[in-house]
Amino acid sequence: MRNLSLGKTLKSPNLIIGLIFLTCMCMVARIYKVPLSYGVYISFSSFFLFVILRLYGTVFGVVSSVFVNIFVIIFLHSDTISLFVPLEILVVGIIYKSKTQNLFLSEMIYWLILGCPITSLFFFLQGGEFGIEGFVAVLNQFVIGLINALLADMMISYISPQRMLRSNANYTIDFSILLFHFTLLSVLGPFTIFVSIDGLNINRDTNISIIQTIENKKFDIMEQLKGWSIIDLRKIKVKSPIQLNKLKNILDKEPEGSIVGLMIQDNNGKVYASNKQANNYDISDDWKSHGKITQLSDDIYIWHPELTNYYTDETAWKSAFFIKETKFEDIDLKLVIKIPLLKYSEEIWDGYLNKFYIIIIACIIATILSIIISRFLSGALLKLAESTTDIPNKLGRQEKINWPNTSISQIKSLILNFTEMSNKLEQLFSQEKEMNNKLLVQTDEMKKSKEELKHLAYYDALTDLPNRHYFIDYLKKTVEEDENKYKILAIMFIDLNRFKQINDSLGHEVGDMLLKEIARRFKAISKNYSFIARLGGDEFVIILENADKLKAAETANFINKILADKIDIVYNSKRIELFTSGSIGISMYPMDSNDINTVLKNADIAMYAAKKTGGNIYRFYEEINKDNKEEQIHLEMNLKSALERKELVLYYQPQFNVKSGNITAVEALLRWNHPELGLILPSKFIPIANNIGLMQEIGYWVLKEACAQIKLWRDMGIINTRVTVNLSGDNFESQYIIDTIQKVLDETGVSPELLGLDITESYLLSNFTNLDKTVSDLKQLGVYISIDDFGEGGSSISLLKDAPVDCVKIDRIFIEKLSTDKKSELIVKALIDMVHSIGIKVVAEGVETPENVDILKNMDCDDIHGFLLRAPMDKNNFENWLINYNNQRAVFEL
Amino acid sequence: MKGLNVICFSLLLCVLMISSSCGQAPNQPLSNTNPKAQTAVPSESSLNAEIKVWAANTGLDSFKQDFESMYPKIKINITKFDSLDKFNNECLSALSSGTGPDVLFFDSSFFGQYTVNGILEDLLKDPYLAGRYEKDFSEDVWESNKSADGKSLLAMTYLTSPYVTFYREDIMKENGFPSEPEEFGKFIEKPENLLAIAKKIKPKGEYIFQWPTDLPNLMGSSVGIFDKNLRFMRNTNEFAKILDITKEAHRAGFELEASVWEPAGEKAIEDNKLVMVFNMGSWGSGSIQNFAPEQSGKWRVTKPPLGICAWQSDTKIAINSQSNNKKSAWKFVEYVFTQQSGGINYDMVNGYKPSRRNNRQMEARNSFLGEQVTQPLYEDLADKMIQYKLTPLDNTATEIFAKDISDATVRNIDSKTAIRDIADKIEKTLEEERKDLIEN
Repeated sequence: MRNLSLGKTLKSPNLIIGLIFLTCMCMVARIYKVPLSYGVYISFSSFFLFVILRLYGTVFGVVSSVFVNIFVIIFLHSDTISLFVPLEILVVGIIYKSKTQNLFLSEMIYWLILGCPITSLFFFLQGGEFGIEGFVAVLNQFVIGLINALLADMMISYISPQRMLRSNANYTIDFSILLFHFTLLSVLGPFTIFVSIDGLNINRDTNISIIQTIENKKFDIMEQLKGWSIIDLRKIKVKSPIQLNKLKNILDKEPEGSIVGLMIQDNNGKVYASNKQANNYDISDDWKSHGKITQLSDDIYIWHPELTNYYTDETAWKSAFFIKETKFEDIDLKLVIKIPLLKYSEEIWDGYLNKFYIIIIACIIATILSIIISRFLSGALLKLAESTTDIPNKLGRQEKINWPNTSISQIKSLILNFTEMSNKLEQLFSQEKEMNNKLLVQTDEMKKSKEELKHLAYYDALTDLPNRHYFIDYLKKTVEEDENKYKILAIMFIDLNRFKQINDSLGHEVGDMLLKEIARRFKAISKNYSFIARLGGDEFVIILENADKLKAAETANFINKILADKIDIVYNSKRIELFTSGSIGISMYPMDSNDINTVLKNADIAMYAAKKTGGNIYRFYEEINKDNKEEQIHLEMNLKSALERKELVLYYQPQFNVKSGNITAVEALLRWNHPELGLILPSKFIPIANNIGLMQEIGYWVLKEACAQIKLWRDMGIINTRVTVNLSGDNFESQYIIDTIQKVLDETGVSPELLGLDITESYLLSNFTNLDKTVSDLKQLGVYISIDDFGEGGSSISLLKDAPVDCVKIDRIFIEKLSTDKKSELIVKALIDMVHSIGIKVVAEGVETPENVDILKNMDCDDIHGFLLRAPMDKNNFENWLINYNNQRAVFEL
Repeated sequence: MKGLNVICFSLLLCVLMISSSCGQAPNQPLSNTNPKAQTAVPSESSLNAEIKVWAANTGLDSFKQDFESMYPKIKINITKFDSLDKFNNECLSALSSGTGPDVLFFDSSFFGQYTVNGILEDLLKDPYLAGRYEKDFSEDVWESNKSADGKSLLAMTYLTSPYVTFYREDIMKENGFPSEPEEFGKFIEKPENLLAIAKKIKPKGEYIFQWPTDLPNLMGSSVGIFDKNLRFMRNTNEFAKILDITKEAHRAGFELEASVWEPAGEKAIEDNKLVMVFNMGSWGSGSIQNFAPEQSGKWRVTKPPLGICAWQSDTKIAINSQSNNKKSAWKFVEYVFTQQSGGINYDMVNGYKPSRRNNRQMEARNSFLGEQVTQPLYEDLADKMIQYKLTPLDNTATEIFAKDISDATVRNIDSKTAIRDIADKIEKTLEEERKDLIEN
């Protein structure tokens, strides 16, 4: 059984309070014993000490018992045999802890080996006669100790004050202890009850017998004294020898062997006559003034000396007396009859002695039996417990389990169930193990995949160099670590020149091989540099740490040198020699910028500038910035990706009939919604687009977008007119323009007449020969053709003759001064008339004043548009405006 | 750990041994069979004291006045009783209950029962120191006031009285016998003369004997009852001779068969039938005078018959052990027995020798007794008598003695045998009491 000691040191307030409480209860129990009869008693004082022993340890048990002893000695003068309690606790504690782990057994061993001899020896040393009362007293203590030890054991086991004092304690009950307790309880319990009841009965019967004797004797004496006169009685008081002698003769008539003591006494305790027996009795004449008196009736008492300073209570009871006082009438004299309890108590104690012997022997037998039975029962259970200890691990290790054998059917059944269960578990464990192994393999593979994914995420698959993502992370990390901005970084963007050509001409596989070779060369020199990555396509980047411009320049030269070396590739068993070079853009951090993104952008710009210059060179951003070509280059760089990033948008401007105010056409105007620079007008980026050959692409997009949008609005029912698009020269020059337009119309589902194309007068004039067929083809297609910015070129009238156009848009330079410049008015009038005369419509552009509107109206101009009427809007705003316009039918004073 | 356990065990044993030895030893007898010592006398107040005095006799008033004037702070409160019996009963009741007066004037007939220690104060001790008066009392008087064990002085004799013979002078003269007191006293010394008187007057219906026990009792009073060893003293030839005379007188029918203390006896005196009384003390004239005042002048007093000098009684003054005013009480006692008031004897003799033969008293005449000067006779008889010691056994012994003497007289048992048998009987009957008194 586990030692339930709460620990050697008291730290918790609850524990201290518990100890103090138990010690006080011990004191109370010591004071208030449960008397049975004639000194035999039950006391529960040692119960609390045993509880302290179990909970707090032997030391605390002994200390508490010493403390109680001191208190009781000083204040109560207790019986001496109780002084051995500390010794009892000490020895029991030692035996308990070192051997038995069982309080009852320990207590029994103590009394059998030490307690009985020592207490008896001290009895002799005290000089007392060790009679039957001595035996009874010692065995009384023995039995009290056994009862208390058992109760304490049971209380600790089943009520578990440890749980109350330490809430986090784990607690179990041992089966063998349980069996032991209940076996002993079944012996001690009934015995205690029997002895208690028997004790009370003995008490009662003895009292009755003695009282009867007393009453008889009183009657006898008083009868003899009945004839005495008051004078005779008075003469007793004056000690008249005659009367005293007569009295003495009466009192001395007690037969030999009688235990009845007779006295004639006055109220002051003065004895006038007494018989031999009374003279021999060891009791003071003024017994009422000391000792313990129990009044049985009006004039019958039981007296015994105070139960203090005696070795045992029984020793004190040995001197007990039954006393009856019968007062004489009219005189201060009384007949006192004393019967010592000794004769009766010896019989009683004899009875108790036998009972104590029986119970002690019964306890010993019960203990032995209980140990045997519990070993028999709990042996099998213990073996079963051993077998099932750590069973999961055993099964996991596929250890053979030795199941115990037993003849106890219930335990056997339990063992069989365990066996079956363990077999099943073993199977499950095997399966689980298999699954675990598989899982481990899968986990490894997953891990590998993860690694690979990571590699894939951070490394370029083709060249195995760090990719853009890794580069950005690395750069950020480097900058973040450099809190004080001491580090100087040279970011070198490297673009391979002519890579596109190689890729296009020799195929992507060769291009990849080229890239790999370049990467290999870079890797070869990578340890000299901080970081090398492939950004994508044919772009690489190198980060030099703590490099100045000179170093960066040297490095760039070196790189170009490496790149300039021919590259030998074997492809399809053919040896191919490739030549390339690098355009390197260098941006210095933090000199060019503290911001990483800006540094990268700068490096990109520098690279672009280097590339524009011709390749195989390097450019520092710092130089480009000085030339203020940054914006230009920036636009050039971004325009390519603008289309992809959907930064190009169409704004829509309505064209109105000057008289009816109806919308006759919607002009789609290209804008660039640059994320940094904002809305950029075509005038700024169209030349760049032209320069870099993007117009085809842009034109195609514009056509498609415009057609798709007009189709959408037509389908919504908010417009039923055409959309007009401005095409660039490049667009028209393309041999595929017709196909392109057809394709767009087919793709968008728009009828050709709903598409209007504006060709600038100037372009038409300078390229009419080439464009003549195109325009005709377009016209044949059904597309609405307009000459834009008519009049701007000056000699545009001839165009009207040859170009099969549907409309002429008079340039704004004529319109804007219409109301203020007569010449303009005349010119415009003439133009309108002229154009009308050949059946072509006229649109006035850039109408910005109401006066102009009036004039144009008077001139019979067909349509007008301009900021006055409506500024160009993006598609959402235009749509909303269109819906409102339709709903309200804006009145436009023409 | 093991060693620590051994040390703890040993220490604990030592502690137990020390503590148990420090405790009281058990089985000490709690009772004390030795008799309790006398409780301490409460110290007396120095303020005014009131002394309660019980007396059977009258005549203390003059003492009271004189004493109180001498000791203004001490008041004397005297309680008188109608009779000796009543006084005795009250005394017994009070003394047995631990109450009672401070001072008791005992008649000797009731003193014997108080001669056991613890009832009356030992006057030899502080603050009394009465031992200084021993020389002023005759030895027998002094010893007669001692306790049964002889160790304590329990009282002081105030007045004592011898036995005397009161006789009708006229009748004696008439019958031809000597009538003058001195002659008559001498005449009746011889037993035959005594019997002759009885014989002579009997036909006239006159008697000189009351009961057979008259002469034995007189004889007995001359010697006492018990000696100092509490042995019965009357087993002698003299007593046998007295018994012979008694038997002869009885055979002759010379007894009145009534006691002077009974109404019949009183009437006999009154009727002139009982003409001689010798079982009274010197104080008896007053009693006879009470019985027959008309016979004044006819009676005379002389010494007892047969030449016997015997002590009849005395008045003893004692202090109650329960008194709270012992010192003051002793002052009064001392004052009285030393007759500081000048003394009135009441036809008795002072115990205190320096007060004896007071001139005034010696010359006084008793008118009832025919102006006889009686005090010198009393003083002489007192000088010669022996005042024997009283014991608690006296009454029983006296009863047995009287009864058996009567018996022997009536049955005419041999006198010596009878006396011897009486003595044996008394000794046997009181053997244990005697032992108790002697040993305690």
